[in-house]
Amino acid sequence: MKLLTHNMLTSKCMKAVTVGYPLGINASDVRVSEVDFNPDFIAKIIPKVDWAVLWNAAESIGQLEGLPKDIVENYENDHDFLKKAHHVLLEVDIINGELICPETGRKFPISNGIPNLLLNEDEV
Amino acid sequence: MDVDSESTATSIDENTENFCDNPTRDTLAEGLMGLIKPTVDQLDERVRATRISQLELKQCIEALCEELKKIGESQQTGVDLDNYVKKLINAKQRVTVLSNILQNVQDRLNKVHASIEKETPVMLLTTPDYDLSDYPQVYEPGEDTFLFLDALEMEVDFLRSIKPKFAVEIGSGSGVVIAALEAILENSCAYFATDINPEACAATANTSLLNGACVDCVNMDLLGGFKRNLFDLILFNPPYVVTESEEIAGFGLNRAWAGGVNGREITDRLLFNLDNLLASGGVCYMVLLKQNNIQEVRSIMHKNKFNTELVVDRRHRGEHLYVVKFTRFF
Repeated sequence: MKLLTHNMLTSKCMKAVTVGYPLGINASDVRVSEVDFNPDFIAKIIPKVDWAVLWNAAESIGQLEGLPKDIVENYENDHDFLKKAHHVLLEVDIINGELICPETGRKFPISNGIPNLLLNEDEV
Repeated sequence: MDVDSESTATSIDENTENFCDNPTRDTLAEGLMGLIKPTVDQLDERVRATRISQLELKQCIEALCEELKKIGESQQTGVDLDNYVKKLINAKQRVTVLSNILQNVQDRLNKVHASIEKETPVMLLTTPDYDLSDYPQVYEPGEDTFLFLDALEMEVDFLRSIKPKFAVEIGSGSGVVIAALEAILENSCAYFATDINPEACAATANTSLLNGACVDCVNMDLLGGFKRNLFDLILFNPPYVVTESEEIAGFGLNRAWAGGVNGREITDRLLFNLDNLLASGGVCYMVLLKQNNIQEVRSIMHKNKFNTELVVDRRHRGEHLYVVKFTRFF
């Protein structure tokens, strides 16, 4: 699971959960792999990313690699910034661990890079 | 379906290296066309020449027949030439038959020619590589899958024009559809896949890897675990087979096809929620079966302020399948 994906996931479909965002991360196995860098694409998705959530997630698993806490001005033309964002969004993969619902503490296992967000009938 | 999977087998090496940006494949395709076209041209020319000489032969035989008849008539006492005349008439008939065959061959060649002319500029979307031998509980790509791939190929220009940033396939199964989408849009988009079957998520991840794609998979029911209004593009080949409601249960292979009442129970859950899932300007493509009552789907979607557009349809062994596209009213 990439941190971009984590940025988009919520546990709100559980009953009694109102926001369910952001999910906590407990990572036991993190892998970094190179992904093609497309600066235009990264610049386009930054407005869609919850930056604070991304930063906290990267920090919690020790993968900040110099990512600024706030989005810099004129980031569209800041190659260095875009490269760091690219790395954290797409190149860091959580292979094993768990996601944690912020409201109920329900844990969702991540195994072989795939989070399991399936709910039991009594949770929906 | 066999043809599709066979055709990819020839380029496995190139595809595993880098499916998205594959100059080798394009060069190969150009090279093949370069080889085939002159051969077809040459064949065409020779068939034409043969036909002309056949016609000449036919005329000569006719002339000979006439001559023989005249000789026969003027020399009543001479040799009986009737037998030879009959033989020649037989020969003439054979030439006519051959000539018809050649005509057919030439017609077919003309068609091949026309389709080569048509195919050359079109992008050739090959079926992504997949290997489900470790994933027995995953739906093997079938006619519905290939129709969906054809629909994507037909929509290439449109898909590129809307510049999607986030694309997701729901119920990705083997993962060939989302991998094919990545082959079209390359690294201008982020790709996600969900499936209710954990084994299907693993299969999709494996297919993504095999094709050098970058699809992130999450095991969930539809898009229930994602925030609202994220996706610019949603692809869904749902379980559309008309079954009893009870068959929609568990997380196994049955979830790949069992669609409950009208084959629409799962489809409707997504459609009624589509407005909350698509980003503004987002588009959803879906496979439907004739029995799913497409007219009704269209009117439901109209009430929800979506247009329903038919992309392609195909009949195969009693199944009449459609790929439709839903876009918001302006």
